[in-house]
Amino acid sequence: MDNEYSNVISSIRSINTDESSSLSSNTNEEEYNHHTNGTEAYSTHTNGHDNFDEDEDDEEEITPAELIEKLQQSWLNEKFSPELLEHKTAVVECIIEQIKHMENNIRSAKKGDFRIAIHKLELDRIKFLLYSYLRIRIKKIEQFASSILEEDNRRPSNIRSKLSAEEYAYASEYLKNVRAHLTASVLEHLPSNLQDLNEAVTMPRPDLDKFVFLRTMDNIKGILIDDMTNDGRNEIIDMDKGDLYIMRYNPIKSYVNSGEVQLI
Amino acid sequence: MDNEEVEFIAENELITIIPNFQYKTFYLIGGDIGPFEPSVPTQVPLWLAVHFRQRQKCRIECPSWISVEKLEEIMNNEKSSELFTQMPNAHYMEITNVLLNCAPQDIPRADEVKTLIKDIWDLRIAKLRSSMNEFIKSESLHAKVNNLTLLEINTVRNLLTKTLKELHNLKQHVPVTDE
Repeated sequence: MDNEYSNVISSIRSINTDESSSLSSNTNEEEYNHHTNGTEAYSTHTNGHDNFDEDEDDEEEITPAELIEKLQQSWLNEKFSPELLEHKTAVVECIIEQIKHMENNIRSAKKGDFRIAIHKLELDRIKFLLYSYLRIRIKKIEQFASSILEEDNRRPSNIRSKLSAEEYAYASEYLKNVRAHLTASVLEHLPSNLQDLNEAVTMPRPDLDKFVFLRTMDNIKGILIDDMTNDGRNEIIDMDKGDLYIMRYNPIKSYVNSGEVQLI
Repeated sequence: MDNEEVEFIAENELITIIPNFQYKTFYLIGGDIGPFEPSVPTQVPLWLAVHFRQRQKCRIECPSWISVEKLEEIMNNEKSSELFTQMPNAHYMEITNVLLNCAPQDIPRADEVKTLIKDIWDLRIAKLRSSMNEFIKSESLHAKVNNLTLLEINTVRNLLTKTLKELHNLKQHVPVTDE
């Protein structure tokens, strides 16, 4: 895990060091003027950044504004997809860094500074997005703990887990407690032939046939929409960039992860 | 999704304000804002415009599509078109609502604007209801919903997605009749 993100973290640092010159200057007018130089330095520096997200193969440079945009997109995807999506570790960590950084600046700013209220307001908006994103994930993890963990254990070692380290720990603990509770409160009191929880059958699974609204971010050709019914009525459609659709989640699920489809 | 969350997204839209104060550029995480000079129009996100307006720090320059003439034209287009027409802004309803609430004085003929926006909304929702009905009857597997705005989608989301899901479940259990 550590190795996987070391690159990301170093790039966060560099984003922030570039920024710190501008942001920390909140305290003092003189320093604030430095920012003009700071921004220029920032833009040149950003170009020199190593890629921000390890697991996406194409190299990516990102500004804090784009970071918020990405968080908002991940938030909406997570909100509407029936299954748990991949945890956007890099985005979340970068956003947390940005929040901490800004909070420090606010703390060191002069009392009554005109800017404080505005920076706080922006922070509140970003925090809302972040908390809501994480809460939606926790809710899904609780709901589907057993199937998520089962899938996680089955995944080949070269595929990254959908869970962050913290989420994994939470899911395992949660499942353990639920099992212990079910055993202690009910199963133990049943005849021994009924004591098997039979999780393969009873475990709740996400409903991938849920209908979702989506926007295509790219031209996508040849999406097979399977009717899943006995008459075998299938359809293949092409979607143009920017189109809005309503359809079942299953046929487009791989495109959500790749970012070609945005759930709305 | 709550409608408040749709409004939250709409608050990221840029709006032109005319400040009455002077200040240097703000370095927000989401980008630089300003500098502010009295009477010089500048663009800020809607949430910030509301913040300044509530403190009497600016006037809001109404987006050009929030005018009685423009909205009447949109209304007529919407009436004469069978499909949904493209709105001047993907968050037309939320933005107008926010502005009408926080700065009705800055909108020329605000009352008429309010009525027109409501009429456009009602017209589109009525259209949406009848097309939903047709879509469900057609038993299609998918539908293109271009030009619908997020708030409109959100209004019918629960009803439509759940209905379709139930129908899908029922269809899966229909036995094959030919054999």
